[in-house]
Amino acid sequence: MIRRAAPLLVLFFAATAAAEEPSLPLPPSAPIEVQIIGDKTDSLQKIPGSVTVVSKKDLARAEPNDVSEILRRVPGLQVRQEEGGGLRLDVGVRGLDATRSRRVLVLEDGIPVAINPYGEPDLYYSPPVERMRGIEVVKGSGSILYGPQTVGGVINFLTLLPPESRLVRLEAQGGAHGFAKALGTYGDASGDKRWVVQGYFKRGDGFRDEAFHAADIFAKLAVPIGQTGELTAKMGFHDEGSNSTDAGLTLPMYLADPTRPTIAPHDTVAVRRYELSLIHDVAVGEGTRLRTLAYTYFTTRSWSRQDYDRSPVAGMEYERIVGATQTPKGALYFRTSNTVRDRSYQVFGVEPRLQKRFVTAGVGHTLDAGLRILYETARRVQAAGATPVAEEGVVTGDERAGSAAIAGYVQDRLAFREWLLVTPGARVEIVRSQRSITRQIIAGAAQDVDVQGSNALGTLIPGVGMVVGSLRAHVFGGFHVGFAPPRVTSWVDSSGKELALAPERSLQYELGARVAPRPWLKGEATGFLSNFENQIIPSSRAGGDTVDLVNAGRTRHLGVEAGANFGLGAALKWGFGVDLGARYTFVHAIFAEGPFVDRYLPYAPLHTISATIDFEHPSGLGAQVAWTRVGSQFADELNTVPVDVTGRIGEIPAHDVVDATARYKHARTGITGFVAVKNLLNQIYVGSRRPDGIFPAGFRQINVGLRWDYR
Amino acid sequence: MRRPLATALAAVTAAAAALFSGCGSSGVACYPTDWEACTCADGAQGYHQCAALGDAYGACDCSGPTPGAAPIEDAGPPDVSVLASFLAVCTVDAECESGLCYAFNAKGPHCTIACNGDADCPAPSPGCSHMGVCKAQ
Repeated sequence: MIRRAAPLLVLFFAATAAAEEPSLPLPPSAPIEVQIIGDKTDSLQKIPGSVTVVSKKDLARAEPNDVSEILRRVPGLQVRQEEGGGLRLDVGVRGLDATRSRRVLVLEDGIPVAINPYGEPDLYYSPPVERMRGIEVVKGSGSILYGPQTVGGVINFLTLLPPESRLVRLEAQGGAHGFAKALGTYGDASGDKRWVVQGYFKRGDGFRDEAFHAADIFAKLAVPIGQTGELTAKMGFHDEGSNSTDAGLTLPMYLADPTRPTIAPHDTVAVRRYELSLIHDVAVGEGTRLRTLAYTYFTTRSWSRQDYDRSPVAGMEYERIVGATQTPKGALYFRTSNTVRDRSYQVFGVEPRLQKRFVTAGVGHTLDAGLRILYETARRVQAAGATPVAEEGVVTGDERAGSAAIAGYVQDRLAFREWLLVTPGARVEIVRSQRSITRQIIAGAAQDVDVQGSNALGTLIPGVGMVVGSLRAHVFGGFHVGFAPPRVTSWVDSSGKELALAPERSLQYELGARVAPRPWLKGEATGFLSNFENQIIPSSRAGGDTVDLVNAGRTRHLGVEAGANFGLGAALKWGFGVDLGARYTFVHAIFAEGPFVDRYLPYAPLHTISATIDFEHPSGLGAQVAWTRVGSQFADELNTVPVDVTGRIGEIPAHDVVDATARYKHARTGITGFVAVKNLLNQIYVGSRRPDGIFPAGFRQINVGLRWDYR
Repeated sequence: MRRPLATALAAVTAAAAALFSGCGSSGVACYPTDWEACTCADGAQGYHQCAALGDAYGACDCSGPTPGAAPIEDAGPPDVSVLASFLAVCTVDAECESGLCYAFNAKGPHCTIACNGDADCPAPSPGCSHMGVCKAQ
């Protein structure tokens, strides 16, 4: 316990050490949080890349069940609907693979979310949408300050702020498929201290009898430190479980009944996460601020999956056989055993950031410089269970991995004129990873081993961006080096040898324009080109107990994304709001060399389009309809169109998703009643052919809820 | 002012209670045409199939091979005079040149070899698996 508490204390003192120096007072209500973009009216003009901001109002209007509903309306993002009650987020950027969101940097209040940001940047835990008050999505050269990944973009979730006066929210929701949710939020201010606490529990039977539950507690405390500083402490606990599986339907199963219950009802995944972060912000002189982030989080993930064969093995006794046994590989043969994959991850990080504004020779500078020190560990234990529901078994694999990384960055936004901003910047990443295997299977039998390996790299990530124009209309452009560190397991192989897969590098170019001629009309369009020297992708040939990552060689992603919002009600002065929004993304993501040259990357739809219409009346009545169309995509490198019997290979047809919500808020009591219909069309489609078969999606979900807000 | 707030709180609480009390699952016995293991009269394992209505399993079928398995021909032991090559489908170790017939989870049994790293695995194997054997295609 002491060993675990010590790093937290170190982080605490590191964060508060800079609090003593007096300087300029903060504005009385300045929220201390880590934003990429900021709330000021000129914030967007200063970002030299494509930007989307999802506001608190956008979130409230959508009544989302999970963040994926919101992110699929963001230009340039592809979101794959996954089962398990939306507890996992699969989002890709501009044709990059969406699996476990490992190609995009996901932050919560500026702090990494991935279980191990360097060694295993997977999102087994997804920040709950219930915590959110906004989302920022940044692509292009504006993202080089953040890391370690810069190949896709940055998604920064902004959580609730501690209020300045009492805030109470109670909410109850229920709906189809056994869905139920209860949520409570309480916040208040006492003197100059502010705090907020939120907790919720939700559960459901799942669309195909894949039950899930999640409980989450989250608290923030903001305390002034000295005359010019403030410290925000955030604590979180999250616990979830679901009947998630890697075993998808075969083609005969899908054709016979795409709504059939899960074929692996014994498979369960449990995720638990503890997090603590401190954000200290202090003015250290005129035009200078020092912001220090210190954080730690622990994630455990235990996934038990029943073993199965796609063809019967002579002499093997099976517990169940599902699917079309008369068709070779049309059925799955579930053994009487399972494999238990227990994993635990720890992350510690400290990141001081200094921002200084000054003028030299008539040129305004906004200099951002910072240092990020991150240490992460992982332990992966694999056991062979003797029954389909075993929670433990004979250990067949045991390994530890860790990475220590230090990154330094500097960026200077040079304002030559009010209408001309040039922002050069660079980041240096140095990382060392090690892997230690103490047990593994050799020639089919588990053995104790002592395999050690390590690897290290240092790299420079430069970038430059430019903005030309006014607040109302400007053009932006830039380029930067995309970088993603290699996963530990692919960087140091199971024999301890180095460099099985290389780090990823790319050159990323952007050119775009933003216009906001009226408060009720704004739009943005961006053209982009990403040239990867070597992109690592999940192999479509993978299946079974692992998803293999392979070198795909050079790839090229060329495309355009655009979005516009039009406040029709405001423009015509109707006295009530009618807002229209539309987004479109075109991505031509192809292999640029090798045996698959000129073929499309798997899971990279050519076209994605979405539109929303919102209605909001002063009486408290409101409604939204949102439509998304995702174009067809391929599931393998050969761009195979026919679907194979296993369901893993073949074209994934285009699909449409329509969500609708309606609400009424009674202003006097603060009570809001709402109904939210997800997947209104109830058109079942192939959501994915990964990890191992067809995963249907598009099931209609109707929720009704009641919310009471008190301020 | 207190009365409406108290009413609102009571309404939200009551709604929550009502919603949570409605949780439940469908409770179907089995999925039509799926098979499940059963025990034959002689103690051997057989399989019974779920009825078309999904309400119950049929009688235990103890007559032959696993559903979906190719019919067993009475041809004696496998012909090992011509050994199966690397990554060929197999049933027992003796059929393989390498002497190792490994039952992959998803792809079924294939002849393979032990490995410590990807370099140990010749094409067309995509590499060395975490189980220490070269992966099947």
